[in-house]
Order: sequence, then C-alpha cells, then structure tokens
Amino acid sequence: MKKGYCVFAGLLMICSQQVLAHGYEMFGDCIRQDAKTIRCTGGVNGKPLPGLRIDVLSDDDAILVRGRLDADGAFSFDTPAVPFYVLIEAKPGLVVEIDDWEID
Amino acid sequence: MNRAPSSARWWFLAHSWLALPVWAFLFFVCLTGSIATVSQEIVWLADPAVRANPPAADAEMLGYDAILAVIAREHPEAVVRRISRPVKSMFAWTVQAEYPDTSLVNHYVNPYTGHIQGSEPEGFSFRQFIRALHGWLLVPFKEGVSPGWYAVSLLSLPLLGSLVTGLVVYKRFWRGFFRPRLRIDRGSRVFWGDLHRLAGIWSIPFILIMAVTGLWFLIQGVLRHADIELPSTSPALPLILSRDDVPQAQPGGQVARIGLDRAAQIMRDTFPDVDASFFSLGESAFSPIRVVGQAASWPLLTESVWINPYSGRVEFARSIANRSGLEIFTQSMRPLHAGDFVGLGLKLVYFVCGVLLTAMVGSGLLIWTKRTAKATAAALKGRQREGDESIDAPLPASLAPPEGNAPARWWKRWRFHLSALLLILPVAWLPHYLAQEKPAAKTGLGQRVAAEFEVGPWSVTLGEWRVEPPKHHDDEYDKVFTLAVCQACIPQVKAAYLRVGRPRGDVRTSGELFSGSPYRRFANVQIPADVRPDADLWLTLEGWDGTRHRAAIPLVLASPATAQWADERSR
Repeated sequence: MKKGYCVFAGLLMICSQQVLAHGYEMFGDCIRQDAKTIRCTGGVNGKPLPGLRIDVLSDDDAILVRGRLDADGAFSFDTPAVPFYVLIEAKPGLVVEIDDWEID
Repeated sequence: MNRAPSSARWWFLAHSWLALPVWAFLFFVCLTGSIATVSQEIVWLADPAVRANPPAADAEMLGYDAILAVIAREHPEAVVRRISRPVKSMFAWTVQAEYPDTSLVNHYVNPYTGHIQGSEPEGFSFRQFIRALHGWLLVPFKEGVSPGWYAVSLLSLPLLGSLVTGLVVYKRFWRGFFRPRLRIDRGSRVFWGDLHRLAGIWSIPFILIMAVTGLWFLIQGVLRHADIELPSTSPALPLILSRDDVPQAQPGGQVARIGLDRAAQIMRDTFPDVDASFFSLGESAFSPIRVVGQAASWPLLTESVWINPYSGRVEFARSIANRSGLEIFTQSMRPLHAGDFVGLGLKLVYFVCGVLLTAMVGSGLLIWTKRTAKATAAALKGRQREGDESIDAPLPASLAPPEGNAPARWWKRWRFHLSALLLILPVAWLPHYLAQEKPAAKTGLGQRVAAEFEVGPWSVTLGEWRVEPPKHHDDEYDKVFTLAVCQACIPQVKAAYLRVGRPRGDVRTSGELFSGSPYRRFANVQIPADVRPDADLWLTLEGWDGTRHRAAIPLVLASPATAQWADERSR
C-alpha cells in the first residue's frame, strides 16, 4: 500500500500543481524470507531510506518490534506469533502500513 | 575572394529574418518584461502604504516579534502566515494573515513605527498581473504546463540567434562602445539603423542574459511537461518535524513556541552574513519556521534555515555550499532574468536595457521595411551590395504598393505582423484571470461545503476543494479536501488527518495530514482504485494534550462525485 504526500503552497491557485511538483510517495514492502524471518524495505519516491522508524504492531496496536531501517533501507524481524501489521512512518502523514496477510 | 562577403550577406539575412516574423509578439514580451522589472517600484510610487519611511533619520527598525504583536493587537483573529520584505528595501514589511472567513490579507507594516499603513486582500496585484502577462500571456497552467509559457520562452531562440548573427554581421562591433554613432540628421532609415546597432552593442550582456535565461525557461517547461526531474540535493523527506519532535501539552495547557526574533538570531548564528527577509510561520503543528535571506556569497540565491519552533533546533539549513553546481545554475536563472537580487539600481539598469531591447525590436522592423526585403531579393539573384549602402537605398520593390489580387496584397502587407495575433491569448484569458484573482475566489473551503459535524468536543467543517472525481497521478488516485475547525477549538487541536477506511488505533495510521491554516487546512487524500461507493472517510483530530477523536464521513456525503466515480468503476 502506498500513501501519497504533498506540500501545499500558500498560493492556492497553484495548489494542484504543487501536489504534482512536490509530491513525496512512500513505499514499503515485506517478504517472508523463511519460516521464521520477515524482511521489510521502505523509502520515499522509489529510493530506500535508511534510518526510518519501523514498528511491528499487533492488531490491538501494541508495539511488538521496534526498529529502524538499515543502510539498505531494510529491517528483518522474527514473525510474531500473533496477527500483526508493519508500520513505517517517514513523517507525520507519510506512512506505509503492511498487513500480515499481504506478506508472501 | 567573393566568399567572405557572400557569407556575411547570408549572416545578415539570417539576422534580419530571425526576429522579423515574430517582431510584434517579441516587442510585446520585451515591453511587458521591462515593465515587470520595475513593477514593484511602480507600486511603491503609486501606493504610499507600501513604503518604509522612517520617522527620523536615526530611527531604528522594530524587531519581528514587535511587528507580530501589532498584528495580534489590532487583528486578534488573524493568523499570520508569512512576513516578507524585498531585498535592500525601501518597502514596508508585508505581513500576510488569514482570517476566519479564509480570506488572506496583506498588511503593510512600517518597520520603524509598527504602524499598519495599509491592508489589502490577497488577490489581483499589478505586480503579479504584469508578470503573468509577460511570462505566460495569462494562459492558465494545467498540470504545470501553459501554452503561453511555451510561446514566450520560445522567443529565446530568435533572440539568441539575433544576438549571434548580429555580432557576426556588425564588423568590429566593439567600436560602438568607444565611438557611439546616432545620426539624427540623415533621415529616419539612418537614425533607426544607428539606434538598432547602438542599442544592440550596449545591450549585449543583457540580451545574452535574457536569451539564455529564456532558453532555460523553455527547457524547464519541457522538463515539467515530460515529468523529468533534474538531480537534486534537496532533502529526501519533506521538511516537517517528526512526531517525536513536537511536544505534548498538559491538559488544557499550551505548548511554548520561540518568537521570530529568536528565529532571526538562529538564522544569524547559522549564516552570519545573511539578513532575514522572509519568514514562513508554518502550515501545521509539524511545520518548522522557515527563515530566508539573500546569500552573501551568491546574491542571486537565498539561504534558509528551517527551525523547530518548539526547541529552536535547526532542522535543516540550505546554503549555497550544499547546492550542486547544476542547482546553483538553474536556480539562478529566474533572478538573473528578473534582476531583483541587488536592489533598485540593478532594476533600473534592467529596465533601461529592457526598453532598449524593445526599441531594437521596433527599430529592427523599421530597418527591414527599408532594407531587408531588397537585400534578400538581391542575394537571391546573386548580386552583392554593401550593408551600409543599402540603408539609404530607396524602398525595395516588395514594399511598393502591392499588386495582384486582394488576398495576395493582404498577405504581402500583413505577413510579418501576424504574430500580433498571439496577443489574442491574453485578451481572451483576461476575464478568466481577473475572475481567478478576485479575493472572493480565493476564500472558502472549495467548490462545495461537504458537511459540518462534531468530532469529540470539536466542531468542524469539511469541504471538497473541487467537485470532481479523484485525479490520477503516478498510478494513484487522489483528491483534495479542506477542513476548518471551530475558532474556539483552534488552540486545542494540534493536527487533523483524513483517510479512506477506518484507521487503526495507532495515531500514525490516521492518514493524510491536513496543512494550511487553522481556518482552512488542505489534505490530498489517496483514494484506493477499488474504493467502494459506500466507503467512509475517517477524520482524526489530535489534541495538543494527546487526546484523539475520530469520526466517519460517508464518501457519498464528503464527495458525491467520488462516490459516483467509485460506483462506475465497481460495475
């Protein structure tokens, strides 16, 4: 799932152009490396972004695993025993959520 | 032996024909560009409210917080968005503030007395009008592209060509610097020829600047059209604060922010040689204060700091040194074209050179009517004639009273004036431009107020910016919504978010962050391609004390056009 982000200029007449010109697009993806390990990558505008915070949360929003993307913009964790989702937030409003059922 | 003069003749003809077919349009663009250069000064002359007259010779300027205090005292409901002042200025500070009816008002504040000398709603301004007329013939931009922009910037090609060919055909042109010649007693043809060469010689650097920067504008338009981005050293992430960098208030309490005087001091600490000329106070609780000033090492560009308004920490500093050479070059093009980076003196130089260039275009046409047509005919027949001799030659046959049938006569008489037809564009688009620039057109929550409702203790109004289905960008669909929270709620509401579908419990999943002003915030919400017409939008409001309230708004209520679009897609 991708989330768009845009910065609005004070000049409303060029609002829609600003959306295009200054768009930030978050991406995130997780794959199951083996029975135990899941590896997620994330970034902005197609580029991996090291240092972004990544959390693995349970369905009731308790943080199960907390980390940051490494130099490759990746983070690996053990598959939780409970249903979960992965959350990478670059900035407020610039977020990607990945449900466990989306992970192959 | 005949090769050189023959070559010179063709250069001369190339010079003559480059601008000729577009002379009328080029004349208009040069004229409006000259006026645009000093448009701000024209406003200064016409409107005393924008002047910064000191009450005494030794008067000192007020601090920025004092200016904000004046606005807060006299307009307590105003939310200041930005403060600006032109470089090396004789101008008052312009304080732009937003009001509960979402109108934007520019207050002109005397920097010495703090007196609000005048106020006018953001809307039509002479400066913006003349710039739009010159730059894109008032033709509106669609997806970042305006045909008017192309039409104007394409003129850089004949301008550059005229300069190069002009220097080739004007032998030993540098003599014009030392022995300027403007003969006024030899008839009009000699006078216009002398004026053309004299103005050209003295305008070489200016013409080169206009041609090169204009060519860049053309390239810029093509890049924008093709959605190509040049390599950039801009931060990979938007310059807003991370969630952890914004403090939380005690229940019922407020979060302290630094003042603008402190922000200006931080700017001086970061860039000791830079004077602040622009402050942006931010668009959301996560916005830094941005302070901008003219760079000392490269006056064409600015240096900026983005400051955490709660801690005073510099989040990012944009200096000349951390730009790439390509960025310095490309970003220098606009100020180099406009000449607004030194002060009044350079603007006047630009204005004079602009008028000279305008006169060159006009005189070029007059020279043509007296010379070029004949020279062309002669060249085609293989005859040679020295350039200056032909200045005083009788009118060419092609300018004799036209013969033939009526259309042929009409074509012969008017063919080189047809580019004036391009001026139909600004005339045709003028009503649209004026309607768009009306202050009333810039207020409100958009084309449709969708709903007023309660979100926890706070009442809000949601608006649909344009009544239309979602727009498709980069394989995604998005749509702009607006939001106003009640005036009493403003101090309590830290942030608002919107998304399609119910968010999870974690606030980070709340969706798109609204930004703008408390009276009108914008969010560009991603609409899933497979959204159902009966889906809900979810609005989350986050209080400064950490409280959170949510409400669901049926999509069909928030945007019937989007619900209909979803319905059509689901079939």
